[in-house]
Amino acid sequence: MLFRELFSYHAQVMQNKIVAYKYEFGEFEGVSCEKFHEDCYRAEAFWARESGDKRVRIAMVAENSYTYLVQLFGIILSGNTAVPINQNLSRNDLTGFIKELKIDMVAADEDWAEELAQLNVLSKDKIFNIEETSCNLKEGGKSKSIGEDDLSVILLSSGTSGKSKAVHISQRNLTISSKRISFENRDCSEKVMQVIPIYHIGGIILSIEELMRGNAILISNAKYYLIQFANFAFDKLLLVPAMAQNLFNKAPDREDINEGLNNVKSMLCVGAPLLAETVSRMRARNIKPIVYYGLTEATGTISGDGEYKDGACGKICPHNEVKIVDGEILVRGENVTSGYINNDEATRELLEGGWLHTGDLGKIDEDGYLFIIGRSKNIIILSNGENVSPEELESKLYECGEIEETMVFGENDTVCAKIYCGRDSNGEKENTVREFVRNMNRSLPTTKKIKEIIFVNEELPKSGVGKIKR
Amino acid sequence: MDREEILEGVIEVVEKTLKASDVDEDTFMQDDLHIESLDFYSLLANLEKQFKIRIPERYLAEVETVGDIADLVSDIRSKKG
Repeated sequence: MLFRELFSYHAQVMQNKIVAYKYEFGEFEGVSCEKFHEDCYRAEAFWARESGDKRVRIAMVAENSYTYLVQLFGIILSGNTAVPINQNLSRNDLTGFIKELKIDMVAADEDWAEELAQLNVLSKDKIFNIEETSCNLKEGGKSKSIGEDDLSVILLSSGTSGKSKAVHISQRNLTISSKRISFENRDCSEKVMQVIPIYHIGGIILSIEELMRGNAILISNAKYYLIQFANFAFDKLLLVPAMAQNLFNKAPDREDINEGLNNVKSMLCVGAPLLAETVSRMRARNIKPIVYYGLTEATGTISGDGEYKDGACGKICPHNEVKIVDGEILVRGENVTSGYINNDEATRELLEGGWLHTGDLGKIDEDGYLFIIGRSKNIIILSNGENVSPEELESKLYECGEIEETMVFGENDTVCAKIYCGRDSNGEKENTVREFVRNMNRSLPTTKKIKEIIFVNEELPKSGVGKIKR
Repeated sequence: MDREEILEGVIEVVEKTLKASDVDEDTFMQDDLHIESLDFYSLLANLEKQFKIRIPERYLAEVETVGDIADLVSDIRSKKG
């Protein structure tokens, strides 16, 4: 299925219902389906005109917003390729990706648009302010004819083991997970706050899925989510676990947040393990927890269906097959990428034997639920033959409220942890962490005990998509 | 709006957002107010609302004091014309 077909289906089903909310300087505005589609078609017309006869790659460098989603859809509809990139990257990293990925044009926030124009990374007439990339349909260009296997989006993979890789996401990849929703479970009419960055596959796929459920979405971001949450009644939240935790922490002192939480019926947490404590706090308020498991290389959703089950990442979705070989989760289906851009060797490794090798260790229970145990590529192998999953220890460490970032690794045959306690770190916080680790070690087998803690004063180095590098 | 008025506005937003008092130009966001990263985002959102400007997240790294925030707001406002 082409994205255009899915999009048209959305217009037919939703007609004049509210499908999105805009937020600007403290004001919310509901957007009807008709207006939303018109905005996307105006963006499509603009990009079709600017790209002429050629299919081009357009980098998107801006924070999450209504406009960002509209422009993403406009680029995809025009037959060009959208390349969402983390807007918080350093200047060098961003210009590096623009060159490496052979980007033809950029749609950026005003600030980046000005800066990139001065850096001469592309000619100035190829750099646009994302707020101004829209035109009347009559003045627009003709969209390219495309097929299901053609590129729709390039995303940097969240690989944590070094340099980011550029993942090929086709039109088919992009639409497959929404098919199960659009035809089976639509018209929920919920108000959804979506905080996951659109430069992550989760941000794109979950936005599309919510629209196809018949819900109305507010595209939020780390900057606005708290203020927006405190001023609007949302039914569902899509966010990272730390943000969910933050809302619960603030509720006792903030009546507006407390009241906001009383409206919430469900929370979908992605990006990091959902702690048992957060689940308990959700349940105490009758909020349904939702988790899912996905990879950029599988265009997001691999599992996530069914009712929440403790420790699991939902049931495996019907659009893909999953099997466990030597502990590793392998995936096959129309959601799986055809590979990395300009990296045949890594593509061969990724798709060896016709299955996507996730690098994650897992198990499937008798009800079809998927459990993630660790990441095989990051496994610490000690000389006694014992394997230690750093993620398992990191998720335990994150239960300590003083730890902002941590990375567990093996050195000299022992398990070590680098720990960052935030910019306001002090001796007291470090002592609390040491005490926490001492207690944690008591419950661990000898091989998994953390023998050395290294406190660092700066945030840990991140990959292009913001995950901690190993 | 001159720098003094901007500073006054910034102090008002900082005090309200972080439930702090006795904030002045030299107050350090980390050392004095112990601001957490997620609260920093809320502060930015409230400043944007107050001054009707957009403040990119990536400028956070350069901010140490309340005075730095006033300078940042002032710069963005003057660029906006």
